[in-house]
Amino acid sequence: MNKGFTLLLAAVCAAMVLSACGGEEKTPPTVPPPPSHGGQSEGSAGGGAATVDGLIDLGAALFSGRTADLQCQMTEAGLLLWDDRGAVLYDCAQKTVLGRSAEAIRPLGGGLFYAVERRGEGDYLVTLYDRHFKALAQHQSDRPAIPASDGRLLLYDQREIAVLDTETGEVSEFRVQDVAPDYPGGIWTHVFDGEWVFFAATCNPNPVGTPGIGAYNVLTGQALFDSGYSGRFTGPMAPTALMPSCWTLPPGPLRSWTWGQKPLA
Amino acid sequence: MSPNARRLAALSTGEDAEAQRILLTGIAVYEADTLEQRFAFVPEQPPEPDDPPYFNSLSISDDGRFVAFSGALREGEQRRQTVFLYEVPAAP
Repeated sequence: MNKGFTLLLAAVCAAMVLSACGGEEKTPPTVPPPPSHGGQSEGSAGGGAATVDGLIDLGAALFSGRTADLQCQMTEAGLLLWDDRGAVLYDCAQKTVLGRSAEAIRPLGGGLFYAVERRGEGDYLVTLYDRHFKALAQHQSDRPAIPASDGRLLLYDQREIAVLDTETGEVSEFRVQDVAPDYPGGIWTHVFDGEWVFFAATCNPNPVGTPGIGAYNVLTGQALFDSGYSGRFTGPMAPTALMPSCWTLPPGPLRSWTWGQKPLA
Repeated sequence: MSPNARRLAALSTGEDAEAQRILLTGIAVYEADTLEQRFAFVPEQPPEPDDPPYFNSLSISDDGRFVAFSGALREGEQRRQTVFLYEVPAAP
């Protein structure tokens, strides 16, 4: 079941991507303007609350005029800022721009970054980048991707979950129907703790029908499913659209979690 | 919450029961051991159910020196997406 993925290794693809996006762009040091946000900020430096003049409006300085949601995350390489039209890597201490890209590059962990380009229905191109925004590899996928907590990528849709090892290119896949043939609604939601993918499946996606809940070990291939799950379900739209509680589970080993009254481990 | 060994960065939240959603209303940084507040940011605009200010992301550096957060703030009739970066003062 690896047909959905094609691993195209570094050199050729890197050159192609760099050519397409203009490659790494070094920019001179940026001195952002003072904040004009109309908000209140206070800091304490031992002398009580005071107006903070160290608040830097990076959005105005680096993403002026953008209207899409801006995101930010500290990474090993610097502060990454991104929206759906580009990304900037910023050195907080030196207050300089380290890299800029027209791709919506996102943090992956371990000094890696990634971007997902949706090229059509069921056609996604996942590109991995290093800390200099240089493309390392590309993966063609029929599914979107989200980062796992350990630097791997989770590729998923309603039917399958795959975990892509970004170092080796190996893909570990799991099909819901293998353990839950009576749940054609597929995966409703999932969470990954680095070893286990927990998921909830439904017999009917809209409206969400009888839920079942399962887990898939990406290291061993072990899969579990409990169609009789009767534990707590919660969510902002309950009860008409149930959000399984696995979404709210904190990360941790499987043995710390029980399904209903039935321990899994 | 985005923690590191020395400091915690936290979002304050308010619940909009009618709309059944969570409003993210402010940012704060605390010393992890004493819980002394080192930084706080609260938008001036009061949350409005139909058009609340909100934050998308929050992150603190591994050494606790920098905190960054993004959000949508109102400027008149417009919304402006931005990312703020703040250097947290050293503990006295």
